[in-house]
Amino acid sequence: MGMTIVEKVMGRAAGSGAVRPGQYVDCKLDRILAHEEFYRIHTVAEAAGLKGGLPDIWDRERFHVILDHFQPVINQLQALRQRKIREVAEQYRLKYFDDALPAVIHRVAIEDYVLPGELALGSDSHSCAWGALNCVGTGMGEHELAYALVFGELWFKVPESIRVNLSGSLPDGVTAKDVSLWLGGRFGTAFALYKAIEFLGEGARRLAMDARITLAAHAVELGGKFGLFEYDDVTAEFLSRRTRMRHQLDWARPVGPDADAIYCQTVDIDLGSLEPQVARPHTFENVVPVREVQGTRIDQAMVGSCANGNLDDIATVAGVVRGRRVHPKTRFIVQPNSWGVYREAMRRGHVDTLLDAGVTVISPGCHLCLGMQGSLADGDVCLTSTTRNHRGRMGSGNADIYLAGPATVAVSALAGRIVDPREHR
Amino acid sequence: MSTSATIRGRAWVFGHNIDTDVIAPADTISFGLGDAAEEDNVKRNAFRTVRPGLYREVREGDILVAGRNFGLGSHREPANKALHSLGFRAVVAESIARLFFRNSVAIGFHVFQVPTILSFVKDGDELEIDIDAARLRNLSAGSELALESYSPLIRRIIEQGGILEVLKSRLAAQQA
Ligand code: SF4
Repeated sequence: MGMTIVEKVMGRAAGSGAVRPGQYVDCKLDRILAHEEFYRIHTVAEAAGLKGGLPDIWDRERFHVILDHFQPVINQLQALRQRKIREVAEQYRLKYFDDALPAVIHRVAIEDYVLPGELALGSDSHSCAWGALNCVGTGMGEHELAYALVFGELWFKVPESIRVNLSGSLPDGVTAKDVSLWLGGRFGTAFALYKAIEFLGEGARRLAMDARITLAAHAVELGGKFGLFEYDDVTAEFLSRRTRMRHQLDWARPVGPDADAIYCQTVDIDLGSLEPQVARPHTFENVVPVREVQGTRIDQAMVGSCANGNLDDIATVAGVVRGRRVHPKTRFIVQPNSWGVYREAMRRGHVDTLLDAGVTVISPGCHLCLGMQGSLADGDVCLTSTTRNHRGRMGSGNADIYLAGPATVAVSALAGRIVDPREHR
Repeated sequence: MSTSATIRGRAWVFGHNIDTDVIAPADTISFGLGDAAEEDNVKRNAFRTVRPGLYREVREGDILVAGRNFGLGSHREPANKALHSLGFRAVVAESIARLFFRNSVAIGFHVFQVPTILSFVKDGDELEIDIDAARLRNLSAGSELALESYSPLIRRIIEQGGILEVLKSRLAAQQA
């Protein structure tokens, strides 16, 4: 019987070859990444009575800590916490510790650390983003990561997989974000609960790496455990540009599904037929085509996050705002998701274009997505390409957060209200 | 965390898609120090955007009942811990987000998925969960239903008091 990507990778990691959905297995892990929650891994171990924290770390070549959520920090509590993290990092003699490298952990993971075919865990729910690189990655809490870091293994329930078949290509003004939002609107936030999503078909192969990152990252908004792409020329080209960790490149073992793999559900999407989507407050499933919310006033517009702070997203924004001005009553903030992205955006002139248009460009990280910068007040309306529109996520519980693709956000920021990007010429 | 064979308390009923930003707002954890001050702050602010002041009302042993995809969103463990510090001893929801489910098991907290739960319980009902028999009783309504039993692996982790207890016994076995 044929196997899906997840079944093959978990089978290998469990040392048993063939595994089936629903089976509980202990898997050996290929990699673990942690952000600021690394500190909590240490403290929960201590609280459980392990003096001095974890007795050891199973493999220092395969564990990486990246401070991303609060980089640079914005208050003394965060500053204190980071100092403690540095101390703990030293105590554990970490080999890879990215301290002052502002970026979102998932972009750094994909640029520098994770590899195709790996089974990898992150201390963050969007670790499924790594699936863009054919890495079977997912988020875990600190208690489980403490266990995983000591033994290099953890229990899994082999998930069923959903096949999302993409065909055609995206029309102008429609982006990968709109595909994720459309799925959220059509199937809800429990669509892939406990399941993996594999994005396959010629439409998937035609997507650039940045678009794949958007789709893979949003697997978790659809309930999913993994969001996976096959390894192909796009993956190989992206990996070939890796500057750090090149010594591990030949550890990659790309994995594709068998032709007769069994999926619990198949969804066919003709990319050419999609229109721009908007998720209204306060869930990822409260989705309508943009035309249904056209004209809604916005106070703030944002593009950033692990899902949409990529180079192509910033290029999309630059393409829209070139030679124009952001609406005087709208604040438009853009946050690239890594230094690599930021510098490339600069080199290509996108940052200048944005600044000329009155866009605020801030240093890479998670700030926007969590309301650490650009916090919202009571009554504020925000249109954003970040990941979540949950009530209170960006400050006030009485603010309205709408999610949309970067094209929609940029066009709307110019108008001061939600506008269909296809009408912008 | 303590596990006992029977959980009995008041039902607090919530709707669909109760996310971790609602349970433990980001500014209350602010990736804090994981200390008592943080725990208290999270507890006082838990559910504040949908049910402010909940921390004053929940009694130990109460049971949180919810609709679809309870606990979706960020991986944040303080949200799991907040339920325990509020006094809840179990969640019964139509479905539970993957990370929230795993984190609950990892700290030894009971979580059950019952697709029909919202029609079985009203807010304020008195509930009793018999863990061994895997039964949920609505004492106010005089009704009863079967819970899906845990898989042996999950049951073992919860009964041991969470994954770090499993870790400690494995370390002890290695040293023996
Ligand atoms: S960008 Fe947002 S969703 Fe992504 S890792 Fe950072 S805080 Fe989480």
